[in-house]
Amino acid sequence: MHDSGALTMRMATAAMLAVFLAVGLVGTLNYLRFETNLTDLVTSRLDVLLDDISAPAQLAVDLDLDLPAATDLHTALQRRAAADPLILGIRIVDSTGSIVFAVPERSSGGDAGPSVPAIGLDRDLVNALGDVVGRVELSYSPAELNATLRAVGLRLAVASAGIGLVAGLALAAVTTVWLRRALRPYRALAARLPVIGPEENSGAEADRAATLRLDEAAAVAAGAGEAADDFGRLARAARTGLADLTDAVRQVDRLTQRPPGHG
Amino acid sequence: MADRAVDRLGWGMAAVAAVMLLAAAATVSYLAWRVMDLALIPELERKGETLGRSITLMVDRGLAAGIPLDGLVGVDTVFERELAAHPDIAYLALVDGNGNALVHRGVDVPDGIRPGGEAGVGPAAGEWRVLSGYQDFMIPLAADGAALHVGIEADLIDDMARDVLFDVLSVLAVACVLAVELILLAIGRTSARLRAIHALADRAAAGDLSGAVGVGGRDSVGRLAAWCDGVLAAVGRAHQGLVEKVAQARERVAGDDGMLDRLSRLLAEVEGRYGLDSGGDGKAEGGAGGRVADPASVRLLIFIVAFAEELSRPFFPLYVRAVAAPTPWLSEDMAIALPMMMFIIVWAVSQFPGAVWSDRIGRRPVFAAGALAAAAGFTLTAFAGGLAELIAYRSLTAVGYGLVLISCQGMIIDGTTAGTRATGMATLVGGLLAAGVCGPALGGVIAAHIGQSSTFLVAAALALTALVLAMAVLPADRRTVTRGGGRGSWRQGVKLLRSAPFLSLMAFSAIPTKLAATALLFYLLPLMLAGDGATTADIGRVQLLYFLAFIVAAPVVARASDRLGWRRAFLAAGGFGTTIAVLPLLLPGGVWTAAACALLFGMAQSLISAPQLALVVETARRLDPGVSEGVVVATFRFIERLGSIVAPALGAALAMMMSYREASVGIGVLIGAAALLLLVTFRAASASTSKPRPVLEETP
Repeated sequence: MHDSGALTMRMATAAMLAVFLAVGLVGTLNYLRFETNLTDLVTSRLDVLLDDISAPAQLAVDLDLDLPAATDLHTALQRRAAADPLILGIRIVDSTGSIVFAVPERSSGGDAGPSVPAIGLDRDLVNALGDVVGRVELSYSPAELNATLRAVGLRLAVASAGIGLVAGLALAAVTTVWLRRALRPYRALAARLPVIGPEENSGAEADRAATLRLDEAAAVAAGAGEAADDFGRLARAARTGLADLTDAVRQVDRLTQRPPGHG
Repeated sequence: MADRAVDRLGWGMAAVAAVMLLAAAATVSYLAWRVMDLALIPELERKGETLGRSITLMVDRGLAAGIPLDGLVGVDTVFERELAAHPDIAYLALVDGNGNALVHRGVDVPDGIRPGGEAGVGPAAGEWRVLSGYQDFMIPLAADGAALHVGIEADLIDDMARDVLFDVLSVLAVACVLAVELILLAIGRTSARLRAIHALADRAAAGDLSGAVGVGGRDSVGRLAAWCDGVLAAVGRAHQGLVEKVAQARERVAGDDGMLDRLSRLLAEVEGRYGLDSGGDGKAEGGAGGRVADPASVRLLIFIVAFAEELSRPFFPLYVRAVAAPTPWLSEDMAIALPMMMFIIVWAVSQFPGAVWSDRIGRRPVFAAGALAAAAGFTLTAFAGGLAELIAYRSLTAVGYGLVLISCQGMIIDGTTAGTRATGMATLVGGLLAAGVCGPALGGVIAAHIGQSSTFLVAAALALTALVLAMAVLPADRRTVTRGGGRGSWRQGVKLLRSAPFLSLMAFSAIPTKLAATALLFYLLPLMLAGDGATTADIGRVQLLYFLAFIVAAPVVARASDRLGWRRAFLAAGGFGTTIAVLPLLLPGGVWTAAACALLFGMAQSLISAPQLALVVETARRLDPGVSEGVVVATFRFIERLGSIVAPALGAALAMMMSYREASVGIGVLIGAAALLLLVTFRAASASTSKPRPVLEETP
């Protein structure tokens, strides 16, 4: 793996993930808003349509006509249904829920497609006393609405994915370049600092070797700029510590080599 | 130095990412607007056409009955009714053959509808035309030259797109927070290693040659960490050599007490100078302590669990209403409040056993147990069949959340020293706040799409994800619990409550801070804004400003607090800042003054959060150096919750006596007074207790 490659990979992945998340969220939000707006608009239009359809029935009620007796209502309903192929069915029911008139229902899935839940709206028929004497029910095909939603959803998804990919790759590229530049001093330092590990020899000789390498490390760090500051300080402190420990060993030797009683 | 450079790099990357996100989101929004435009305009026109034809049928019936056009009665009423029912319709006009509007309602009729009006844009039946900023549709009537005109504002779709703008900005803020979380996580390990190297170099320069970075790696920073460990290992070997030499010398001079004493003093003097320890048994100890959890990992873990919990915030009251059957002896409001209250109480209480437990068995098992309990709680909540079940399942979730939170706080304590505690805690609080920003915003969207019950299942899946991640990234070593003082016990919590400085901190900082946050942000500001006619979305955006200000300011404050060591001053500044934050509410301006208040309040609270916790721990350790910091934090969290519990009642009481606006200002002034009392009483209480002992800088 390239030096510092793991970090670069992590950062690039994080950057791309962040962009995909953001674009995905914004795209989803826009779609959900669109879905609400379009559904509201369609429902509002159908409301007007239902007003229109229920007007003759309400007129019959206003004139105190018995609903089953108003036979021309059936013709009016059939004419309305024929005028809009997306009307799946219109029914007029009385206050007990019994069907008075009904236009034969069509499948919401079209000629061949599977049936999907229709958009259903209804309007009460109210007499002069304020009593509900019946209801006009309209079921409308959601095929057109669903098709528009699907088309817009697909376009938004493709656009979001494309933009996300471009922005994500751009951000990952910026991240990679920036990180490599930022970590360059550490790479150089890691390559130049002398290894201070377990020595072949032990004791004073090993300590001397370590001391020499610490001197070398301190010199390397001194010329390597701000990034190397911590390593230089550590090397110098360890160098002093090693020297003191070596000196202490010598002191122990000196002490124990003296004849007893010469403290 | 190096650690700060990497932190700067992380924040720089986060800033670049934010700019890129903005650009990408703006492009997506623009495209969405274009697509929406193409799809919505035809539907809007169809609606206008349907409405026009419906009215035309009515008018034509009158004309067919022989009523002249100018003799039709009630057309104006119909127009008014339809315009009221359909705000997207700009005007309706009944125009005679000379182009005179006999009846018209809505905005002024454009000139172009008259014959010879705007050049080249005269009326055309059955098609939409743009006239003076309106889309006009003309339907001929059964009278010579007469027509009905329906108008729609040409910019209506643009207005709809503008409505989405604030929502997009809110989501974008959430996305930026997520981006920062991801980038900080990615850079966290490198940053932590460089920070450890920096701390090691600092200690070495001060003469302490013990310890180790502990976490290496194959990349350059990992190799440098290994190099540092190698350096200290060389010192360790030299120390070991000295220890062995002294042991041999002791054998040689056995019986010579004077010499034995000199050897011991020599060894002790060298060891003392460099922080080395032979442990008295003649064997030098390795400097490296147990492994501690990486703060970035802890932040991610707490973020995931808190995010899971926050998902249900926007709809939880509605969910309770839907699940809980009406009960004659319990009002609906109380039924909604009960599971929420139980959650807070159980959550606060569960932190005590959680703290003691995690001190004893380690942080990871407690986190795992908590995440598992939370996942079970979320799952059961999704299938709750009544109020009692809901309360029980939410309580289970609260136990889980409490255990997760206390174990994460323990991990931060383990991984920080007294001098870096505020920064560490800010990391944790940052994760919690980020979840507070992202969770509700996304929870609402998720619930709208897949339903409220399913959103709880998403939360359960997130809690399980945190569990799996915790097992992967948290150290399993029980010995890691080395910095949080001694083992925890209930008695330690009770002892804290008898201490005057601790009580002063609780009474004049912890409780008021929570009280202000709950009363202002979640009670008074929403009610005040609703009273001013703001929508729930506006209220949500104002609250979002608080969180964003907090998230941005908290890390800066925490570092400054650690560097300067001014804990109390920050707490007082935050209290006085809260008073200043409510002052904009005295100005006229509705949502904008509330937004300014939320922004300033977020900044003021950020001055308190991390320094407060650091001061609590420091105060407790001054009182008893052996106290478990987990128990200290649990006690603190439990007591500060009293502020949340009291807040709605206090807010309501103040609102009964004055307006919401004045009540908010009253709360702000109260917090300022509490800050003043803290300054006075904490100093006095600290002076009256035993002489403060310096907080020892723990070694890793």
